[in-house]
Amino acid sequence: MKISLNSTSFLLPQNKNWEILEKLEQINFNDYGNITKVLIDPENQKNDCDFIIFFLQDIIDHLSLGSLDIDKEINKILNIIELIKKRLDKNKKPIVFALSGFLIENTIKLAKNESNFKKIKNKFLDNLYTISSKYPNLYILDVDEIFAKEGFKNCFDQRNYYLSRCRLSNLGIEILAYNLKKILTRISSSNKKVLILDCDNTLWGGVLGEDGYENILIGQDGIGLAFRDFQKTIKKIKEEGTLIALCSKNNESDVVNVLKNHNSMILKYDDIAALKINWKEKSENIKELAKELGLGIDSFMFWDDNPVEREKVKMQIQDIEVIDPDKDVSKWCLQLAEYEGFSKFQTTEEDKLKTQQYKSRSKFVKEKSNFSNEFEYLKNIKLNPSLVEINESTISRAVQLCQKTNQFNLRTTRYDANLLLNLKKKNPNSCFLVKLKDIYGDHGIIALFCLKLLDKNYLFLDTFLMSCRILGRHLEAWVLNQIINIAKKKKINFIIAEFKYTKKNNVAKKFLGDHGFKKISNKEFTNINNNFSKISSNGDKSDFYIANIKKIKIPFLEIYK
Amino acid sequence: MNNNEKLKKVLKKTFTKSNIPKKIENLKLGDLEEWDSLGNFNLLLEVEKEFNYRFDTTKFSEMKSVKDIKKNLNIK
Repeated sequence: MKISLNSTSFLLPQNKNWEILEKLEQINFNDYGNITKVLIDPENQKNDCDFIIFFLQDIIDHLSLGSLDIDKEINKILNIIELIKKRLDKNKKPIVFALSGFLIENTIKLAKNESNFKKIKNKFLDNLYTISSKYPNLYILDVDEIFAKEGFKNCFDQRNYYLSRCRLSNLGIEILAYNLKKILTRISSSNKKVLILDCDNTLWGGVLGEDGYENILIGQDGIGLAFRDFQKTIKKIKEEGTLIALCSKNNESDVVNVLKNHNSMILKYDDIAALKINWKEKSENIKELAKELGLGIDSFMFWDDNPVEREKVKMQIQDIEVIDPDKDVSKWCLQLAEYEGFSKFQTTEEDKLKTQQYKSRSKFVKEKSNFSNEFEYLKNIKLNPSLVEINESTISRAVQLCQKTNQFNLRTTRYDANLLLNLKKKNPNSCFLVKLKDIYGDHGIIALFCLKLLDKNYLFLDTFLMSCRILGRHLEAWVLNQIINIAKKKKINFIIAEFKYTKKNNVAKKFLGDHGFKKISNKEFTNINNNFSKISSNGDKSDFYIANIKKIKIPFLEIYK
Repeated sequence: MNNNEKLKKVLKKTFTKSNIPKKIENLKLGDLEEWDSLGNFNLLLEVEKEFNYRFDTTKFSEMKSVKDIKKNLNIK
């Protein structure tokens, strides 16, 4: 990513503290002063993301504030808000807007009146948050909030300002860079999804197998209370959409008994998405958990009090994040709360249902593996898929699927609402969501496909994605059959499709080839595409396919009869 | 680490692309490609951090060489 760094004041490029950002991405410092330039100048569209560091003092002369017309000053702010909106309407690339507006003011005066400067700052911040809910690519950083922890006097430096127009101290730059990095990391990579926990001396004090059900330390006071608060933090994380899994060397029935019956436990059996309680190596168990939940191990975080277990997991599983918990249990609650790997910009209603959905997925995977005949098994679980229109009430789910589906996703195009609705409008009766029910529950909306009409002979499979938690049901065959039916209705003869390689979508690589599509060379694809040039391919590695509607035979459909 | 070594460390840390000579006593702004006025500012901030010292505005604006820095830090 190319990132432009813009500010109303000088930011001291080349300062060592910017290095943590520069190690991640290519950072270009624009001339300081006029930040509206980055919002309106088309030249700036070369960047993939714009950081704007805004010091209110640079726009509002706080030393003369007494004689200024407040409404006029507020208008300046509203103008900037309008410019941000315009920029985001025109160009979807993210803006990270960091706002600082802190003054050390007179205590006596503040005892009766809010300071005008603060009023303007709050107005600015309110407006930013209001528009950020409408523009998913606007991210706000309240600089004063992050500086307060270290103290404003340590983060700002008047000397630096007078000598170089940089308002910040070395420490101020360090903290700002560190927090910008956090936001940047979450923009460019998704959050962790699973917290794997040990049990003995992690969820409670003591060893269940030795000390017994009655004597484990949880909930009373002292150290038991620390474990209880730790469990509360875990529960909160769970409610925000993270899956909780247990991996412990214990007797399964003992642990389940504690989860189901122990009064002091905050975490209950229903909070746990999956568990592996046995005497096998933890690394093996974790790999199995990944299979059962259908999630990549790089989205796992492992928390265990035992350093030997942690080292073994680190050695045997490359992609997992292993946390070293503080030796003092009383610090765990805060340590986990401060961990930002699970944090995301927004939590949805859907997040609260996650544990239940994945629990049923893990049950499905286990039961399926017990059946020797997969087809017979799948025929018996009452699979009931149906198509769902993309409309006002489903668009947010459709966008969420586009943004978040990494594995079963043929082209990984990250559409936002506008683009998706536009696509649908241009291609009537060609874009649908899919919902699914079976004996494991109502899985909700779990797949999306979009077809682009190229001409009377050709359709292009623009989008085809499925949530990984329902994989293993051959639902993709059913969905493809719906697509063929749509094509037949439109009297189309061929469907062209593309599989665009990413680091994560290997699971979908063989899908087209295994379901009646024929691979064609890039050249053949280009020949067809040149006639239409409606398909934009950005040069990533891709495989191209074609299917003849009249001849295509899709396997596995008998499951859905 | 003596003070000279400390200073050398700061120079190396600030001017990563430059070859810092063995003897730094006579080094000054302009001697290294990266030691321009911006480099000077960042260097002084690093010096403050390393020596846990704060220069006032006047002194900060006057320092342009290793000699100046040493004089203001009161070290040899």
